[in-house]
Amino acid sequence: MHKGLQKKLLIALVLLIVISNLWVLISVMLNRSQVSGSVVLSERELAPPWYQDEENNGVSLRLEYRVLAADAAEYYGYGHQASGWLTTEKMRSLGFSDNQLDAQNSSSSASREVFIALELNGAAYQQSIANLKQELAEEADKEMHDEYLEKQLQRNIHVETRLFAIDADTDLRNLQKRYASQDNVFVVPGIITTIGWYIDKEVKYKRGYIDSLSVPDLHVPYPLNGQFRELGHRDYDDLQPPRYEVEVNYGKYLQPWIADVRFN
Amino acid sequence: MDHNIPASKLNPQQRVNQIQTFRAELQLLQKEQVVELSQEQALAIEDHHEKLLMGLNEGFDIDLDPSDKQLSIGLKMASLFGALGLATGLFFLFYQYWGGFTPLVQSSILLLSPLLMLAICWVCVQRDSSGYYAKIAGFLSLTCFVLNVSMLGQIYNITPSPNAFLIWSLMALGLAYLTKSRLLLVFAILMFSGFLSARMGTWFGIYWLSFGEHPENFFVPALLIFACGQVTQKHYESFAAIFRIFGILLLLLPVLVLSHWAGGSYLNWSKELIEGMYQAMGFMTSAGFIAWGIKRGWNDVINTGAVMFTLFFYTKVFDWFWDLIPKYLFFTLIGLISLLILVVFKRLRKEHKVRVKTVVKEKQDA
Repeated sequence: MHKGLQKKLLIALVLLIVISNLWVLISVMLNRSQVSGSVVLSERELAPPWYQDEENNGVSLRLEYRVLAADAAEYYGYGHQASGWLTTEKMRSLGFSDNQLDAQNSSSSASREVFIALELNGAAYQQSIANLKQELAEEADKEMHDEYLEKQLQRNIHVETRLFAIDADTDLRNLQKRYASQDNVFVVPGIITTIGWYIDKEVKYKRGYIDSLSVPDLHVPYPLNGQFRELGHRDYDDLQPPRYEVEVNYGKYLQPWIADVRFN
Repeated sequence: MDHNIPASKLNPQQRVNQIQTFRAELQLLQKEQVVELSQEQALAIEDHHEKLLMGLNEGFDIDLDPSDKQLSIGLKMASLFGALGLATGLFFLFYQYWGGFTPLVQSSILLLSPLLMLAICWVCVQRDSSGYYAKIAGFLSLTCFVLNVSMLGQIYNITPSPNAFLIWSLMALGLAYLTKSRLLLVFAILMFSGFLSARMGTWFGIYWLSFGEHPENFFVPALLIFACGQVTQKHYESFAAIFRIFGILLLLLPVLVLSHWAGGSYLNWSKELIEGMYQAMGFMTSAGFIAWGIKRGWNDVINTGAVMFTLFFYTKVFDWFWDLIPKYLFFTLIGLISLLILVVFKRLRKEHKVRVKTVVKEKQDA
């Protein structure tokens, strides 16, 4: 290649690197210039990593959420496979086509990125506890005692996340308007996927589940990350109160960042 | 004397190969007493070739004999493994320590590392005629840039976007042309097809990271990439073949998947119709590529088309007979079909030879 052309190519590559970085950093600044929502989450909602990788000294916290299940028999689970309100009709309103929701078209699934409303310690959380208590009462009526259910109830009251995905929309403003009066609800982008609903080993209809949030992990910046590396993993039976609280802000583009960390 | 040394690296190597072939053939012709050069003529040719080879050897990194060629292959392998090893090392080095820096320091390191590697790459391009060090530095610069963008995404909790694939692809493409690296060109092609397929997916209303669930998303990027291979680029002769091979693979591999998995298609037709259509398309398109390759004299297109045709053929045979007949019979059938293909190809070759012989005879008679 001609030397002059080589030089032009080099300049173009330098510009590509610099402009890409500027683009990212300016979008971060713009996002943080306006706080669209702020929430204080505890260890229950922002879980430490399952294990600390010795070859990675960065720390990210996992945003834990639940969905009230469609079937009462599954309410104690995380409900990703059984989102009660993600009915076929709701999925249609989220832009899924008739073909994507066709029960006969069982071999494929479709995903879309939408806005999801997350409610902290609200009606959905109370409902999940009420459901468990009701089932325990029904067991007691039958003079049966289910230890697993009892443990689930205790974990639900003391350990499990109180964050519930309660609604979704393709229009951010509509969703924010619907929950404007509730200060414990904030909106994040997430991915919803179709799932075949089996009855008698046959797909009868399709509905949806939350595949993941678009930003499922929150990076903890230095120097806030120091203590997290020494926290260690908690046992399944441990019902002690959360060890920390984290203040999370959501910006103009709904991208979160950790503003503060308080250890209890 | 002007030896008219070509500028690119491939041309000098071709010239060296040509001289070696000429020398061997001349020796044979003289031995069989077909031609006899005078001492003066032989010396003039020998002198011309020696000067030419010396000039080429000084200006370019070329292989003058077969042992040189073998060493070259070794150098290429070492360069490839060196680039891959150092790139992986860079990834782990950053992960090992990044948690100990503030976001400002992290961002600065991430910005400066691809720039620094690019500067090293530039120095290597200017000073090292073989190009091996430049290629390694180019690959490391791309690695640093991929790390740069993806880590900024993690540090600032940015929603993932397919645009990252586009800028990585542009970087890989620029570095490929700067260092004449086919490996970097392959990365550029794959990243560009990732970007465009993801965009195609979003246009069809699916989440961009699910683009792989619908193989039809790859059709448009595949055709664009194949189209790039239609033009032979001066100084970058081998690049066109890479474009063509990956264009074919990106088109026919999704067709192969769809010919057995209608669920991945956007088409709202019956399973049998979709799979049948893609099976027919697979056979016809790969045969079409073989024909197109023969017409244009592109061995890369002929070979890739033939491999894909064979894949379509054997998967179909598997589809028909795997459950139907015992395994020993199935593999015997595969063997017999291969023998049949061998017989057909041998017959075609024989006919071709007869045709060439007739043309030569006609020319001699004329």
